[in-house]
Amino acid sequence: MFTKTFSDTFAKKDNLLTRMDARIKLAFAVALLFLNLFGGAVVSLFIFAVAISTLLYLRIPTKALLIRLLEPLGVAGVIILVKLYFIGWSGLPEGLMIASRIIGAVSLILLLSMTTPVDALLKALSWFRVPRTWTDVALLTYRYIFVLLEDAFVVYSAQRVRLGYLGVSRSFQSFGTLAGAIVIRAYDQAMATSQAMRLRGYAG
Amino acid sequence: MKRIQLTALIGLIFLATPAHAMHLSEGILPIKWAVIWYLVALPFVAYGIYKVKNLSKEDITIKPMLGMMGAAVFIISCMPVPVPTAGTCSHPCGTGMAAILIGPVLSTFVASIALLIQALFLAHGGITTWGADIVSMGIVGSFSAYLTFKGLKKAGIGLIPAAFMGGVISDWATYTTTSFELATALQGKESFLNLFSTIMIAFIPTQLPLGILEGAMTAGMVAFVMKRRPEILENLGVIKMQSVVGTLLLIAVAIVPLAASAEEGKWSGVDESVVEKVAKEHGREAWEPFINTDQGDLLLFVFLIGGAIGGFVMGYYWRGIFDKKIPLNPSFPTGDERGIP
Repeated sequence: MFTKTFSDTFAKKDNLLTRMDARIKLAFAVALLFLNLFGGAVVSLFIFAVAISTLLYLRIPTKALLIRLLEPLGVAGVIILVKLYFIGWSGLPEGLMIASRIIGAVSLILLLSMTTPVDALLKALSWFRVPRTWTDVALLTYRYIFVLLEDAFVVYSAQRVRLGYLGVSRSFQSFGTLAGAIVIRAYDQAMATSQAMRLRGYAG
Repeated sequence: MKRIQLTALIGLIFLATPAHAMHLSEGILPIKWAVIWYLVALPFVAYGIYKVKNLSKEDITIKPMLGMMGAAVFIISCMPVPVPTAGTCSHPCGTGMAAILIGPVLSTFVASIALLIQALFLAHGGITTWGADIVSMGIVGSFSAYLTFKGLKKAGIGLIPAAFMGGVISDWATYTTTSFELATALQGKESFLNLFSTIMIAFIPTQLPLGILEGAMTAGMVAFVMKRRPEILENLGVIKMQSVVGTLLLIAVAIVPLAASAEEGKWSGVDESVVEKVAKEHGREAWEPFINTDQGDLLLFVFLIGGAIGGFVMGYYWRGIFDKKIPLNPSFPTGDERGIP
């Protein structure tokens, strides 16, 4: 579930937006983000409406969209409440403005990440003069998140069947062990990967 | 009274969206603050890139290593951790751990990547709030953890308690910075200090226990790696391992000249100064040794043979002293090698 909702699976599909060059999408997204910050609530809500309807048109499952939008929507709600609490009803417009800014920006980023694979995105970034060092490490990070995640699940279920995570103090211990196991896996994977890269002619 | 109730209400709603305790959501910052935090964050990230670039010229493994550490931190920071006092789940921030393992500059570099991926694929944080998130989680979280860890370790507190405190301080420092950023961003007509303190108070029920949990997790991580694979901590420069053999050799090397210089002086041994004297008084002189090694090069020859035998024995067991452990039964890998935790 996690892997499906949070990886770039949907970006690998073939549709109008995924066929578009990543550089254009990136430039548009950044420009619209600025517009979203400058323009008022109407612009933000318009961006939100367009982005979500485009995503629905591209047949992205509604459930996946909701999972990703849940958290920012919650934050937007909290901010409206904070404003109401401090200023009273006259603070409502201000709160609504910030809330609409949040959902506009989030839906925009959602549209970008649902239609652009990470490798294409990083390639576009390096075209925009982001240093190779950064994009290299970012690509490695992204690729190995899912590998390490699988290992983490294996370790976690091994701990569960051996009565880990029972009670508070034991949970603390189990979490520490899990983190340590992940670090060890990461180290070994790094050694293996760098060896494999060097064997295939990588020279830094 | 009304204020306390409302603070509690806001706290409860923050708990309802608990995973958001650390990251600032996309679009929450006005353009002014977004730019300011970008400007604060960029020098640190640029220095990190410069450092990684230089390091990768000498060491080809540095990029994969940082990538894996980034992935590890990403996963650790995504773990849903139950917060006992609040009855909900939240997540640790993980940068403290990274800072202890790879140092604050590289950990800020790694955090900048992890934050971008989280912004794109988890809706944690965002592109416009990227700078602010780097400042709170990357820079403040890394440096506070690293300085606490190193300082406490230098003060003579053990490795594990130092890691614990590093995790706790990093978590709390991050949350204070986030509250500050949030207060500056949300401030309209209300007073800044008022807003800042309210946000801090609203965070306390989750963040106070979560900080302690992050400390426990960091300590547990260091303890586990120390127990299973101490050489990882040594390679990453977290600890300096002095092998017992090395220390003994050093002591031996230091003692040999001392012993040699002592022999030249007038200090004679107990045998000569006491035993021989008493024996002489009782009329029992020492007689010639049965095998007199003073004749010719006999002493030298005996030493040579002893040296040769000792050399062969030492050479045979040399790898056992300095190399990694020799498996007892090479065909059957031990638990560590199979990677079973």
